[in-house]
Amino acid sequence: MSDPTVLPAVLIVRYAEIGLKGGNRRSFEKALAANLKHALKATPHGPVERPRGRIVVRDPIDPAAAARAAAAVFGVASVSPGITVAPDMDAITAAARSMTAQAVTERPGDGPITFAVKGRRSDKSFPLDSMELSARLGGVLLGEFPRLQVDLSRPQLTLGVEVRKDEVLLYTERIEGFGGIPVGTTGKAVSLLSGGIDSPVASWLAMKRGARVLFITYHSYPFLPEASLDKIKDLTRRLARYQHGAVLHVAPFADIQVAIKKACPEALRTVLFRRMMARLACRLARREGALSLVTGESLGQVASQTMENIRSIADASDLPVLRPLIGFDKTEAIDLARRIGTYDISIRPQPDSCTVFQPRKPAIKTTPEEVRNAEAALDVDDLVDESFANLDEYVFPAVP
Amino acid sequence: MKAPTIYLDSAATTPLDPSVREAMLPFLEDNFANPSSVHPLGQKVRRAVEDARERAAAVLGGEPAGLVFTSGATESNNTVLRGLARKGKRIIITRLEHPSAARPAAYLSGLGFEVAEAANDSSGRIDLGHLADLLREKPASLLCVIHGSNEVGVIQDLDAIGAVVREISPRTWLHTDAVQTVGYVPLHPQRWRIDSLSVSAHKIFGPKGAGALMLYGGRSPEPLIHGGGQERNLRSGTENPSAIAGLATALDACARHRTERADHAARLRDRMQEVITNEISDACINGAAGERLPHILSVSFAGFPGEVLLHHLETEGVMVSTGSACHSAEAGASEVIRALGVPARLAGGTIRISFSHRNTDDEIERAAAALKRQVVQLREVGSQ
Repeated sequence: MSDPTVLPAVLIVRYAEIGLKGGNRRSFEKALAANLKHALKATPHGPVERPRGRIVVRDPIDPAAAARAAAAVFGVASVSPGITVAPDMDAITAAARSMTAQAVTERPGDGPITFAVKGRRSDKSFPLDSMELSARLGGVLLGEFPRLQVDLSRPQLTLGVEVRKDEVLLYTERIEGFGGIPVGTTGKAVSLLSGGIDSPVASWLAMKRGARVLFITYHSYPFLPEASLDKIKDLTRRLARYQHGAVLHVAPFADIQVAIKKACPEALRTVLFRRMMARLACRLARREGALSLVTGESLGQVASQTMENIRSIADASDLPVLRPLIGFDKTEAIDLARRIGTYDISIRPQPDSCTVFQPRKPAIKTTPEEVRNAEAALDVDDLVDESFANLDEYVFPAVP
Repeated sequence: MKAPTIYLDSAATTPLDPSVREAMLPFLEDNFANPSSVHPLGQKVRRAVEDARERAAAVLGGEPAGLVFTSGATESNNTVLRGLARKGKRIIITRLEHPSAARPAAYLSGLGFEVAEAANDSSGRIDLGHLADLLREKPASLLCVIHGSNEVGVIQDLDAIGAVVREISPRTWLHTDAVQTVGYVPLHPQRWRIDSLSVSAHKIFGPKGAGALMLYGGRSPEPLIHGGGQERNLRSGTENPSAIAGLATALDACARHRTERADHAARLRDRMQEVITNEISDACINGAAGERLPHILSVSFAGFPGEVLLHHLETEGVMVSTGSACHSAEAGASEVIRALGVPARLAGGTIRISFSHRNTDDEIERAAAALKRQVVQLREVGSQ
C-alpha cells in the first residue's frame, strides 16, 4: 500500500456447514480454500489465510468483484469485503468512522438509517470485550452521523468489527453465498444435460452438494442442426464457473434414434431413447470414475417423468440416478435457473429433439419388462459402442 | 471423408465476383475521403459515386437522378412502404412478398393503415381480376409486387399488372422488388409503368450491405432516414463508396452476362428437376406452371420436414435452403408455400435449390444423386 491513508483491504469469507463436520473438517476447509483460490484467479489478490472458522483473503485489487466471485463458491455462507487495522482503539475508531461515512453517503436521501455495531473479540487480550467495544464505537458513530438510529434486531446498516490477535477487521457489507459444500469433496457424477431449464439446475444442485459434475448430451445431427449444440455448450460454460471448469461430452444419437424408430413400438420411443441415454452416461461414468448420474427429472410432469417411466428408464442404468429436482415445481426450477444464470440460455428457441422421432402418443405407464422386450429387436450393445466410440469432447475453463 | 461443398443457395447470397472486389478496393484504401467533402480528395470520390450512379441507373432503365443508394433491398422496400403509407388509402401487396415487404406492411397495418392482399392462383401469379377489384374498391397509394419470388421463383407479369393499375388507378405507386430477377430477366420499367424498383448487390455477386431504390417518373416517397441530406435528401448518411462501386460493377456484369447466366442456370435447374420428377416419388415442383426464374427450384417432398432434409444434404456437402423448421409444431410451411396451395402433406417438406453460373453440370449430377439418396434414407426412417 503506497498510500498510507488507504487501509489494507480484505475479504472475510465465512462458511457454515463445513465448520460442523468433525473429523472431516480439515480436508473440507482445505478443499474450500483451494476452490476459493480457483474462483479468485481472475481477480488479483494477496495471500489466502485460514484462521479459525474463517478464510481471509488479503489485498483484493477489486474487492467487490472478488466478493462476488467468492460468494459463488459452494461451501461459502457469506462474504464481507472489509479492511484491516492495528488492534488499537484510535485506529479502530478512525476506520469505523470512514467506513460508516461511506456507507451513509451510499444510502440516498437524508432519512434515518437503522444501525448496529457487531463487535466480536476472539483475542481475549484486547482490553474491551465484544459488548464494550460495540457500545463504545456505537456511541462515537451516533454522535457523528445524525441519520443513524440504533436498532440491534434488524439494522439496515451493520458495522462488523472482528478483533483478532494482531489485527482488527471491519466491514459493513455482507454478501450471502449459496452454502453447500466444496465441489469435489463428495465425488464425481455424470449429468445428462439437455437444452431445457431443469437439467442445468439439477447439475448445479449436485455441484452444490460437493459433486464434481461431468456433462453428457446427445446430438441427433443431421436431424437437428449443428447449431443446436451451441445452447448446450453455453449452458456448460455457464455452469463451469461453479466448479472451476467443466467438460461436455457429446454422444452422436441419430443412429440410435433411427434404429429405435425402425424396430420398436412408437409409443415406447421416449422411454427407449432415455434408456440409451442412461447407458451412454453409465459408460462415461465408468471411464471417468464417476459414481452416479444426475438428471433433471421431476415427478409426474411429462410422459417421461411418471413414476412408472422413471423406473423403466432407471432400469437401464447400473449406477444410482440422482434427481435433485424430484420435489420441485416448475416455477421453483425456473426461479433457481434465473438465480444461477442458466434460464436465459435455456429459453433460447433451439430444438433439442426432432419432430421426426416424436411419438404421437407416448406411453405414460411402461414396465421394465415391456421396454426390455421392445429392445430385444435392437442390438443395444452395438448401438451404444458405436456412439460411445464417437464421443466428442468440449472443455470449458472456469473463467471464460 | 468430408465431401466437397456444392453451393446451391445462390438465391440466399452469392460470393463476390473478382471484378467487383477489384472495383471496391480503391475506396477501402487510398480513396477514403467523404464524397461530401469539397476538397479534391472528396471530389474524386464524389465523381466515382456519381459514375456508379449513372452505370447502375442505366442497367435499371432509369435516370441517374432517380437512383438512391441504400443498404439493400430491405431498406429500399421499407422506404417505399413506409414512405407511401397514407391515411384513408390502402396499400396492396401480394402473398408472395419477401419479409422485407411483408413485415413492414404488417407493421403499418398495426399502426392503423389498411393493407390488402391481392389473391394469386395456384401457379403463384396474381389474380388480375381481384387486383382490379381492390383498386376499384378504394384508392390505393401503393401496390407492391415482388417481381420474382425468392422462395419459389414465380415471375409476375408486370406488363399486365402495370396495365391494370394505370387503367383503374393511374396515381397508385407501383413498386417491384427485383432482387431475384435483375440478374436473370430483362427489366422494362417504362413498359411496365412502374414507379420504383429495389435491388440488392449481394444476390448478384456484389457486396452485402449495398443496394438501391430506383425511382422512375420523378415522384419520391418520404425518406426513411433523415440527416445530412445525402442522396437528394432521400437517404441521409455518408455514402459507402466501396459498396456503391461494387453494386454498380455487379449490375454491369448482370446486364452483360444476363442471357448466358440465365441459360446456364436454367440448364442446371432443368436437370435437377428432371431427376426429381423422374426418380423421386411423392415430390412436387412448386410454381412450375408458368414463367419462373431460371435459378430457383422449389421442391416439396412428402415424409419429413424440409429442414431435416437440408441437414442431411449438408452431410454430403450440398448446401440448400428451406422455409420450414423442424421444431415448429406443423413443421411450418412458409406463407408463400401456403399461398400456392401446396398440400399440407408436402408443404412442410419444402426445400429451395438455387443455382448460378458458378455451378457445374458435374456438381448438379452429384447433388442430384445425394438428394435421391437422402430422400430414400429419410423415407425409410419415416415421418412419425
